[in-house]
Amino acid sequence: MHNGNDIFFFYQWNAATENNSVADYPIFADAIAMEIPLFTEESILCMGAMDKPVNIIFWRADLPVPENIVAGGMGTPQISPDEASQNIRHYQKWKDGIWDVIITRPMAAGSENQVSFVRGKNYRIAFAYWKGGAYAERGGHKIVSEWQYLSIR
Amino acid sequence: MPVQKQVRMVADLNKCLGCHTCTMACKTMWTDRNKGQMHMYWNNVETRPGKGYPKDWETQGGWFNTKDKNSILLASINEGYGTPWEYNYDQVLKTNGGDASESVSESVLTPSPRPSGNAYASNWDEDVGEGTFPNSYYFYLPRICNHCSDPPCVDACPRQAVYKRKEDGIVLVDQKRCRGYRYCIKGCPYKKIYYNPEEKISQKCIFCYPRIEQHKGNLCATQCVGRIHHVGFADDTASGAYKLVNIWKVALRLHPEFKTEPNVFYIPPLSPPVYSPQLTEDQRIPVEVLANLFGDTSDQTHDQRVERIKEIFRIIRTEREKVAKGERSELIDILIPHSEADRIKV
Repeated sequence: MHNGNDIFFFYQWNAATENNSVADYPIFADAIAMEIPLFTEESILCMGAMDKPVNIIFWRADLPVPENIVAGGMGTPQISPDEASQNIRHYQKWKDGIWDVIITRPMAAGSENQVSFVRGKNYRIAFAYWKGGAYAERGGHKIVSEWQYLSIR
Repeated sequence: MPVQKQVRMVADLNKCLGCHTCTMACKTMWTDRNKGQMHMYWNNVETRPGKGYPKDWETQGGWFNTKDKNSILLASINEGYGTPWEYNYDQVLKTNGGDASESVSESVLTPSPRPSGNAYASNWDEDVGEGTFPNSYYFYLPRICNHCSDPPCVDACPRQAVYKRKEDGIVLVDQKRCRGYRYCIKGCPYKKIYYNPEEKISQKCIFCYPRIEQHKGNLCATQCVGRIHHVGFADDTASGAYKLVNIWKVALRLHPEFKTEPNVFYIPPLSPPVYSPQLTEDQRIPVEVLANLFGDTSDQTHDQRVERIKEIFRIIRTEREKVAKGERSELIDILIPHSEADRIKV
């Protein structure tokens, strides 16, 4: 959903427990991410490639704000260093076994480290989900989707 | 993992008096920056036999022996490492008129927060040891990261945030690359990587690399009042560390069966004779206990380790006797270093 200036992604899923902390060695937090090729139409699903980098929006339940990440291959993801691209906001709530997470950012890219969402354009998008708590999912230990399509009308 | 040089440390356990000066030197230098580092002792001294720090680290496993890597335990801070507490020194020591005017509870040192549940600390079982009087025994084991030649923490990290420096073989966690996955903590069988829950990243002993770069010893070694450490590069034939490991062959690796090729070596401790009912030839610290800890290589059997430790004791005793008779001994000269330059050559 978008209002011409900002785009909103709404996620809702079942989660028996609210895992919103990483405050001790065995404690891991729930997380979700979306991945979109940064400037090519397609890319490699697994963190992109050197010449086909990907832009990732990463939400984790313990983080103050979601992170804007760029990656150019396995093992390379990093939080984009410029402040302009760390423009993502969110709303999160866990209640009665259900996570509600809304992630929003300006449609226009804050910098070259971010995808611009343009009306009428189609994007490839992939999703990832990490189950925290006792499942201790983090890093490559996650559930990923195949490439999906995102059409901005 | 080819490196150009490899730092090595030898710790002579015969001289370790368990004063924790190395621990405190390390703590004040590196890990008193924020709340997330309170439970961390990059250098710790544990009593052996004992549970160690973190609690029961020897049985937690690592990349080398565990097929299901997710099953490797990550101990919690309170129960595995210890939640640090403060004492009410002000209340007890700085009162007017002393204890008489204070209630009992105010005149007794009490920890705050009080250790609760299955609380633990880095020296929880200090000086407990084993055996019964008059043959009870224990010794101290100072531990830092082993800066292994085949470091499983490096292999465990999917982000290449943990790396081994080519110039000196020091293993470091890139604090900007680390995402706090804690695979390295699982990978390390010595449990010498710590998790900072405030910074949400892993941190570890850096072998005082800024000092090594200036050809100064790491602080645990330079501050040691017992002068138990010898630090040098593995290929520096003039260093005491090289001579103890390669020439005199009196230093062993801690748990070489972990297959990581640790670069911290230990001279196993001799101990007083067993009294039963007279003094006997046996040492109070059973060689079998030492052989459970120390050895040369991963493929050595327990019996071979026992023989090696006995051989080391023979060498040290022979050389000590030489000196007692007024003769010179190169080994004893190395073991009684007269200056820091004798012990530390980096």
